[in-house]
Amino acid sequence: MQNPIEVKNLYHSYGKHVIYEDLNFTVERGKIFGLLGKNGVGKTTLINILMGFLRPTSGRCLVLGEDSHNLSPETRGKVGLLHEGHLAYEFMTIAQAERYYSGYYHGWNRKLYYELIDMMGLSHDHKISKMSCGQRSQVVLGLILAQNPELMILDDYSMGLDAGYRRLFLDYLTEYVANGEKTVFVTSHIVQDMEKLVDDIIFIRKDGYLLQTSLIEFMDNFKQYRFKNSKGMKLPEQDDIIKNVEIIGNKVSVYAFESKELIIEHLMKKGVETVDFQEVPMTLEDAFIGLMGKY
Amino acid sequence: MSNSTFYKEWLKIRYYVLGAFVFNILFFVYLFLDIREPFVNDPAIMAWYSAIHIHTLFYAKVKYLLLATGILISVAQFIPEIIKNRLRLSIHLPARPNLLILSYICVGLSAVIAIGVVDIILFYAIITKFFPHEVSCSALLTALPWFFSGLIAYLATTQVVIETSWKRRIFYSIIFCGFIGLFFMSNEYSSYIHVTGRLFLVSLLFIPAVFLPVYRFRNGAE
Repeated sequence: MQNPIEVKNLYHSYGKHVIYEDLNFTVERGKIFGLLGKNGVGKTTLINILMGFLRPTSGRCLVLGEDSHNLSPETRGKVGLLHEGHLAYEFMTIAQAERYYSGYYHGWNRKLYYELIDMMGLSHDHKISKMSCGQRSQVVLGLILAQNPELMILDDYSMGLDAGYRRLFLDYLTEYVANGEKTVFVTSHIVQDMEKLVDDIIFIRKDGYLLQTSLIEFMDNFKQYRFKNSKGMKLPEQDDIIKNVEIIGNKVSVYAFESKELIIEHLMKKGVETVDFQEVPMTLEDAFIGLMGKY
Repeated sequence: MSNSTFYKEWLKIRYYVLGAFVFNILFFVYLFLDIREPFVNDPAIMAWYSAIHIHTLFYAKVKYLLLATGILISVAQFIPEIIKNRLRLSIHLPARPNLLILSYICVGLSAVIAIGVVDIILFYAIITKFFPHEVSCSALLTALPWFFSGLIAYLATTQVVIETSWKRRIFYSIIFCGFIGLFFMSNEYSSYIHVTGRLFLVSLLFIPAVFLPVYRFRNGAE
C-alpha cells in the first residue's frame, strides 16, 4: 500500500538561500508523525510543500501517491489541512461553516462536528470572528474531523492554545488514528505535547541534518550524560559521537546515542576527565534541545 | 459544490450588495430630482436647448456609479480571502481551483450585472420621463461604457486584490486605470457607439487575467 507521504531528493531554495539539499523521508500509514526543528530550519517551507502551496525547486513530494502540488480534487478530499493560526472563514457562524464545508465532502460527519462544538456551550449562530483562539481551534478541528480524511497535516496546531484546548486536541487526534487507517503529520512548538502524541519523529536542522526515528527508539537510545568540570580541565567538543555539549556552571552535559561506557572511553581518548559521570533522565523536550541545541 | 460556493460568496457580499443596491436606487432618485429641477424652475425649452443644442451631459453624475459598485463588491468578496492567506482554504477544497475561482467571479459579476441592469432600466426610465425616446436611446448609448466600466472595475480590482506582490499590484493598477480611463475620455453624446463592441471584446481578457495571481499564489508567491 502507498505510503501517505513520500519525500524524495527534495531540494528547495529561495534564490541563493538553500533550505533543503537532499531531503528524504517516508511517513507510514496509521501513525502520528511529528516534525521537529527549531525556528528557521524550514518547517513551514516543508509544510507548505506538503500542503501543495509551494512548488519545490526539485525532487518529489508525494501525498497519497500524487505530486503534492498537483493533487486531484479526489485526493484533496482525503487530506485534512490545519493551517497555522487555525485559519477559518471568520465571517461565518458555527452553523454556516458546517453547512458550507458539508457540500464538498461526501463522508461528512455532522454529528462529530457538533459533538466538539457543543462542548463549548456556544450557540450555533456564534460568529467565528468573535471566538477565542481556543474556541476557533475547536471549530477548525471539528471541520477537519468531520471530513473524515485519510491524512491530516497540522501546522503548529498548538499555537495560541491553553493546556485544556491542547489536551482536547491531542485526545481527539489520538482517537482519530486509533483504528490504524488514518495518518497524522504534525508540527508544534510545544515539544512536550509531542511526547504524548507521536509515534515517529522527524528532526530537521539548519545544516541539513535529518533524523527519522520512532519516539520509543529515540527516547531509549538518545542519552544525556553529566559530569563535573574542574578548573583547567579540557572540555569535550561536538563530533560524530558527541551530538551536543552544554556547560552550565561546573557541570558539563554531553548528548549522544552511545552507551555510558563507550562515551567515557571516547572522552578519555580525547583527554577529557569524567568526574562524577552519570546518565541524566530526559523528557522529549530535553532530548530535543540536546539534539538540536538551544540557539 | 456549486451551492456551497454560492452560499459562501453570498455570505461575504450580501450586505455590501444590498447596501450598493439601495445606494444606487437612492442615487437615481437624486438623478430624477436633478433632471426634473430645470423643468420645474425654468421653461422646458431651456432644458431642451441645454441638452440638444449645447450637448450638456445632464446625466453625467451617474458616470462613476457602477464603477464604484464593481470595486466595492470585489473588495468585499476578495479581501476576506487574502487576509491571513485564506485563499488557501479554497485552493485545498476537493474541487478544481480554477473552476472554483471562476465560480467566485461569476457570483460577484452576477451581483454587479444585476445592479447594473437595474441602473440601466432606471436611467432609461428617468430620461424617458422628460425627453423623447430618441434622446433616451442616445443617453443610453452614451452611458453604456460607464455602466460597462463597473464590470471591468470588478475584474481589475479582483486581480489587484488577489495579487500578493505590492509591485505587481501597483503595476496592474496603473494598467487598469489607463484602460478604464478609456471609458470616460469623451463627453460627447454617443461617442463610443462604434467602439463599444471592440472595448467589450478586449475587456473579456480581464477574465483569464484574474487567474495569473491565483497561479502565482498557488506557487507560493509572497
